Amino acid sequence: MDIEYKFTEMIKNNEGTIYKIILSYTDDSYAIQDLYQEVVYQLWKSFTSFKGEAKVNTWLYRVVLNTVLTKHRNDSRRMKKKEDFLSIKFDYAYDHELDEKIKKLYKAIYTLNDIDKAIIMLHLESKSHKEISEIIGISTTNVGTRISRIKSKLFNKIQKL
Amino acid sequence: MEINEFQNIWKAMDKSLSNQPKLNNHTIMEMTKDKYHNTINRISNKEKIGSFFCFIIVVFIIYTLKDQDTWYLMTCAILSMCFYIILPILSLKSIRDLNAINFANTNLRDTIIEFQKKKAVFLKVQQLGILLSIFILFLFLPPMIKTIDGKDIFLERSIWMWYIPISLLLIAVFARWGYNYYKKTIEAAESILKDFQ
Repeated sequence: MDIEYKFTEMIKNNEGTIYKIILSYTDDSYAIQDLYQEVVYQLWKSFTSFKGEAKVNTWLYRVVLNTVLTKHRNDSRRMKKKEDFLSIKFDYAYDHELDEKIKKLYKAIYTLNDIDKAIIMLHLESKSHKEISEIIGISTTNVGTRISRIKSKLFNKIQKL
Repeated sequence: MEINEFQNIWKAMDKSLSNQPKLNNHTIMEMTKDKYHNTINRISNKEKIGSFFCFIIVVFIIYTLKDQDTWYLMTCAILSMCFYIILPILSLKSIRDLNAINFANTNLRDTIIEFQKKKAVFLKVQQLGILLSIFILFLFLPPMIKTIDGKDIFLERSIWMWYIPISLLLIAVFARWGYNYYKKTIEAAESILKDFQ
């Protein structure tokens, strides 16, 4: 099968995941597109050398998070610096109630630090502690401890919203 | 909201995102091309333009070496030429190193540490470049005036009266700006590494 075809299919199948991660770090439409393109570029760079030693999923999360957290770190448009979280527009939501819930969840996620955001997103994606530990670079015990702490932070935050 | 509900919402987003118009194969492949201007590429392009101008200056210096009729003018010309060759090489190398990080083989923690280290080197090279370019003005001006005007400015005190104070002022301003920017970047790097603890 043609490598470009394989790559484009992989991107299309994981488009939602990539967007969900990027949206957790910024809501600026320009920054989202910029980061999305950068992520695709970085994925392509390693796609040809990716021989499947790691699961496709682990590889994808690793590249997406590494790209987002290094390239976007010093961006002045970062969501964290904005005060009005209510301005977020999830124009892809198809359901008003769901839209509200997504907004609440994102508002709570925005209050976390960059590493905690990555951990909770991987947890929400049903990744095991071992997989999270491999992607983030902290011990599995630390992953467990941090997830409990992040969950309680999220609950508290959501209750106040 | 319970954690299960968080997970359900998270998964439901996939469904809503699937209603979005899909990127076509051509658009995806366009994003993989080097012509896509990411942040580092934008910096890299500016550096490439700068390097091109440095190259022109080197050619100019080589072409006018014959005009430098004293040992000190010749020394100034040769040192200027060395700076204009070495600085762009260092700068382009630091950008290439920054761009060469493989995001697929390392975990987030190691990638961020590597990226911050390379970024620190890149910023140091930039700072060095700014400071040295002002210093180069001292070196480059005498041979240039000799070529253009035929004058040896080491013998013209009036020029140095304004040239030295202005250059020193510029060095002070740029050094301070460079230091503050560097400090801010290093602090940002330290803050993300703290988040891992």
